[in-house]
Amino acid sequence: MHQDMETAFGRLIKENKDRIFRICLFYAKDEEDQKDLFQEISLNIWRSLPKFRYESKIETWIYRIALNVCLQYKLSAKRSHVDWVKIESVNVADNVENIQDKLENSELLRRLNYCISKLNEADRSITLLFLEDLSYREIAGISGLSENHVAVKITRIKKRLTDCFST
Amino acid sequence: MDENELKLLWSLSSTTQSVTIDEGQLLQSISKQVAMMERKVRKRDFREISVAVVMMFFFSWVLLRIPAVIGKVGATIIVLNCMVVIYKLLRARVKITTDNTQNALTYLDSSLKGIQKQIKLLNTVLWWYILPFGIGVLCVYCSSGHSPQNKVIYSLAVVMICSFTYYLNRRAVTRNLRPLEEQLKKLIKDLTI
Repeated sequence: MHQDMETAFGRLIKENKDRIFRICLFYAKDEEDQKDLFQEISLNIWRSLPKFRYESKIETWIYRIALNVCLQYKLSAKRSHVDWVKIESVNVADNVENIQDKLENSELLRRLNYCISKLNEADRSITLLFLEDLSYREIAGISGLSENHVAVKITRIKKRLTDCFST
Repeated sequence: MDENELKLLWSLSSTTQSVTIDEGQLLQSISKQVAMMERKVRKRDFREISVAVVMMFFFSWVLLRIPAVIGKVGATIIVLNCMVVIYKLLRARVKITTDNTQNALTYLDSSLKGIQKQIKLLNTVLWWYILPFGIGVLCVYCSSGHSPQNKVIYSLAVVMICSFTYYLNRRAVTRNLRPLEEQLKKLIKDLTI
């Protein structure tokens, strides 16, 4: 049973590492914090894995845990830091093949991040889910809002992001 | 920039960096972390509950030994209060976990309720912890055969310790819990408007 869970967990992390890491990039600024946050999300996925009932897509379930962990991280960031056992299980390196893309897109990405940083914490979370290309229904399931409410919020956010980009 | 361009740009944020995970090491790290956290919680619970249990036994013994009525009243107050403290600590331990597989709104709401319970607990600490212990200890000491001068010094020391404990609890509420409560309330409000 434990072995099955370890295998399932390993596969889950392998398949979703980029997704989880993008969320970490969104919420933590420096690399050490991003790694810690990655481990914190992984820890919470591991602990919640026995509770997963296949009622939603596994990706939606991961987003739900990741978002809750990140919101908690933002709330507690000023007070205390998670004291992680230091094992270099997560490594981040610049992708050499994409250096050219990186140079071309870094300015736009910086601009996007700047515009997102102007939003409040709740809108930032919705923006993250929207940019991750989730449907309104999935965002509603993760955030706890109704689909209509999500649609209204996203329309408002898109307008603010477009205005920010055009200035 | 339209919606699709924004999403495309966002997806590029992770392709410029590659993440490599050693699943074995990650599992090892997680297991160590879980063990460390459990050990920490167990130690804290053991420390707090064992102090209350030791005090309960000690003042039960005092209750049987002390001849003066006022001393017996004081010892009874402390013994009963130790029971209340143990009960409160055990109850707080059961309710401390918040399920993070819930949606964000429910999760934030239950986190807020948890914080508000902690605030309530610390706000009432004077009535369920400090005053009963302070009064109990004073009653036991004052019924003993010490000189009046000693009794005054001892009473002042007890009052000072109780005041300091009360101050520490108030500070924890105003410095840590209230700001967190405000942040959570704001987050919930921002999410729902």
